[in-house]
Amino acid sequence: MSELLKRIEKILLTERSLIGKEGEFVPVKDIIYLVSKRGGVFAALAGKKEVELPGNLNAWEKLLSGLFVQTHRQYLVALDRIEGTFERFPEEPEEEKRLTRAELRAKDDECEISLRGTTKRIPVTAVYGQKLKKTLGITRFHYLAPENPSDRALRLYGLIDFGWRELYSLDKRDKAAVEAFKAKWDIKLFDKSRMLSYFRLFGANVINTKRVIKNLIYQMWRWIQKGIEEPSDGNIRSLWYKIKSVLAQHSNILGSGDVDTFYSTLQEMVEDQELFRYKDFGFMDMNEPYRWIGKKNPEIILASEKLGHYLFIKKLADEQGVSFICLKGEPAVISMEYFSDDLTAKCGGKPLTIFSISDVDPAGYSIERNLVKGLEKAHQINKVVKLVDLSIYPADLVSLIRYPVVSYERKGDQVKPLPPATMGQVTKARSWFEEEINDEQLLTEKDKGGGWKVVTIHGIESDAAERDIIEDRFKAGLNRLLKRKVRAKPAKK
Amino acid sequence: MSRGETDLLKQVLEKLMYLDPPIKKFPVTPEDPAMAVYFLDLKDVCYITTKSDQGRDETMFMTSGGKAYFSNLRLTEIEKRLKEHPHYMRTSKFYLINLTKIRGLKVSSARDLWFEGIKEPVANAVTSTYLAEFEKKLQ
Repeated sequence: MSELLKRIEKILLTERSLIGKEGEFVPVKDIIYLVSKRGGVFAALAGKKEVELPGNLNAWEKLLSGLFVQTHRQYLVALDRIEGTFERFPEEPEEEKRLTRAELRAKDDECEISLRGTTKRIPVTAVYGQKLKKTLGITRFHYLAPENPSDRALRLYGLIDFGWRELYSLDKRDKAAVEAFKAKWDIKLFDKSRMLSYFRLFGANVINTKRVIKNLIYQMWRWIQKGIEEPSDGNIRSLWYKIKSVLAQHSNILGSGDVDTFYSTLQEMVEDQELFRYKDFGFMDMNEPYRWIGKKNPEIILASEKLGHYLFIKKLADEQGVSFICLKGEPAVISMEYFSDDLTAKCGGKPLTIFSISDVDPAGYSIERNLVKGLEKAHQINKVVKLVDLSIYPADLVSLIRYPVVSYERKGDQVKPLPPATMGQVTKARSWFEEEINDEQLLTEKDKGGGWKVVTIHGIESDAAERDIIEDRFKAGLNRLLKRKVRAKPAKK
Repeated sequence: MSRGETDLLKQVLEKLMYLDPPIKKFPVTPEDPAMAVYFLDLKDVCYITTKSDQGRDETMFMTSGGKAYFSNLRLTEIEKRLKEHPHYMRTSKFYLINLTKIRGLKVSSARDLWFEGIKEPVANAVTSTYLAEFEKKLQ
């Protein structure tokens, strides 16, 4: 019986009017929210002036229970007018600080809500957040849960896939539809206030430039993939100018200094996050002349870290029909993308064998490791053969041709780098020596007194090795490999 | 109170529920990414169905205005949440419909339905498993 009465009362309440302080009649269904301010309670109505009501907010909360819900100590909002939730930004700039778990939980219970009939956003504070979530049947204010894993990954990285559903069904040949889509979702055309609604910096009422750049790059990539945006003319900088010039016209948020943010963000998205590849944007590989895919044995690669070896390894590779790549120090990611794709096209899924020429020093080994790492993304690596190692140099010459990589002072476990070496360089060199070399020919120690020793780790340039020996080693290794290949092939009947 | 009166009250309560459903809004993905969660008025929804775009399974809420909204909840989970809602019922493996939005019906091997504001009918919206219950609710 009481349930029945409650329901009838609730239905009747929506048809009732409240009486304002001045005797005005205020239909309950016209009220958007009640706000407590200046010592009174006011009813906000769509398109009309606020009406002051008698009593306090607590009393109205009880009376309007089931139709209105409290979101803040000052606000009671009409439930059926709630449209959506938004991130709640502080009104005053906040200091950047690490939040405790309790503070993070509290933030999770805070948001702003929009209500039908007003453009004003109403705050929801942690005190009332939990109850409001329960009433609305949600567990999160800041995203729709359950969340698609790809949406989650994008959200956590600060990316928005604007209009993805429309993009998915968009016919790229329909020019009018493409134009309409771009007019609606092109970040470059957003005005400042729209930018702010998506990319506001938390704690301040300003646009987060890095987030804008990140999203611009991501949108560009999505549109190139879809075929509704032309790839770059090959130059990364021209992509930056394309973005910057349009943004300067519309929302004027990027300055010339942001070019560094652009480069570092692009690098982060490609190299750390692996969201896409440089090649996807149509950027050209400046190192293209220094690599080749072999016609006979494309899955065998002759690689050198030095451009100075170009003619030498090109000749060797041509003779044997193998692939080659000449790096200029650490392999450029874009070069690896192109080289790796070319290898895939020519040798399919065959595992790769790499014959490598690199300096016998930490940098040389790092370059070789990164070359392998780059290729491993798309290929199986059968073997890496070092054509240059310590054994290639005559023992009596090592002390003459070696050069110091780092020097440091050591006493027991204490280590002090000797300038210009830094501690990082010393650590790297020591671990290279201990894990890869461990040969006293490349380590010298001198007593300094007081228990201290000056230790020097040495390296040797690959240029100091006899090219004939490198060539012999390569040919011998290649022969062994090819013989194994022949043996592995089933005999033709 | 006699048993007859209790039954009567139950019926009144049910009728009231029809006028004032226990759930009025459903959280869905907003159209504008600036918003985090959008609360869709269930009274505007014609039907709820499954949809797979770009390799992701979602549930689509089709409104009489022709706009579609999406949720990552499965249809069965939505059905559970709307169990008490007198306007909604499951009518096939792929559809949950709003009975108040039906504007036409065609008997085929199953039932094709026309909804308010939507030109094209939904073919096989009611399948044999749910037909008896559907017809009962329509009466």
